[in-house]
Amino acid sequence: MSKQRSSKASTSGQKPRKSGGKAIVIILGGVIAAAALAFVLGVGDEPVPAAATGSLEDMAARHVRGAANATVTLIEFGDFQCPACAAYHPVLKALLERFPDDLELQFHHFPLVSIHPNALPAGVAAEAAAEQGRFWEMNDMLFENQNAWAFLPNPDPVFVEYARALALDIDRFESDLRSDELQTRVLADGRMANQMGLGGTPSFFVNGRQLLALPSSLAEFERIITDAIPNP
Amino acid sequence: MTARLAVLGLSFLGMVDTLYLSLQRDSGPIPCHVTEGCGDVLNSVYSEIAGVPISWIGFAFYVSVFGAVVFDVFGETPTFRWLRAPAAAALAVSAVLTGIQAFVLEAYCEYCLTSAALSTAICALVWAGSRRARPPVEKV
Repeated sequence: MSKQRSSKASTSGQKPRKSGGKAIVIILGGVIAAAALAFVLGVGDEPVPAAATGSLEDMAARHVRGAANATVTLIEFGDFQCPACAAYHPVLKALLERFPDDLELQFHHFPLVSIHPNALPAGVAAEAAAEQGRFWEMNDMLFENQNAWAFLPNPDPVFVEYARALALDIDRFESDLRSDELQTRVLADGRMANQMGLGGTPSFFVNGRQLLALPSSLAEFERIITDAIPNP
Repeated sequence: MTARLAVLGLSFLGMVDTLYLSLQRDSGPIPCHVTEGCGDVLNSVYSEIAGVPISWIGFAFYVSVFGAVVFDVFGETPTFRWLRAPAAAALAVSAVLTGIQAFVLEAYCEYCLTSAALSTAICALVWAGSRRARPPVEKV
């Protein structure tokens, strides 16, 4: 078609029409229109609750274990695919045994999805177990067997095996693995962690105060918890 | 001309689709309305190539197609037929990605399936349209 137009112009002796500028304008207009449309479509799909204000107090404590009337609350922002989180996992369990009457542990998700592609599916698996009241059991299995699933292209079958080992309702668990609501829950935690300015995982808070330097040993962690217990 | 206009419209839809995915990617889970498992697909290891989200690569493809058609219609260069190889490559990539959704992830993302359908239609139209667009034969 354009060749026909070109030959027509040259045979009539007219100067060929330079319409490259027009084409560029149309292309830019098309891209801008597409961007505007994509943006408008995205506005209605905002999935994360708007409660995020970047404050620890705004976060509901969904996953808590330890002492019923604890005097010390230890909060972990963790990523199930994070090796350091897995390394701290036995330390945290040891702390719960060491302070059975004073310490409670809360867990919040902070999936670093850009470097840990299976962190989000693992977080969803933990939430799917939580739907059946077994969050902490799944938490333990995920951290204790991290190497078994961390680098799989699709870790879900492994998570289903863990659910089977925990005697969960498998049909419900598998359905929950695909739940947008559970995924939103995990990512909302992560977004809050970002808004709080947390730099990585794990991040710990003891009675609301962040541990800016991670304890290098169980003994150091024990000292921190001991210091946080109010004197009688 | 009909093929060109159709490809122009389809590539515009492709730009919207891939740009929507790219912009929403970091702001939270992208809701599925028709299929199940958008999150599984879009957060899988297959959603990036060398750290670049496939949605951005798709957007670059659709912008290229859109631009080539516009230049073909309004410019002096028959760029439409240049699209044959890229369109075929996009079709092949779409087939692989759809296969990954079906057989590896066992989850489907409606936006990805839309893009696969668009790239399939674009490939068919480009090959059909460029075959018909032969230079006019001059009669002596």
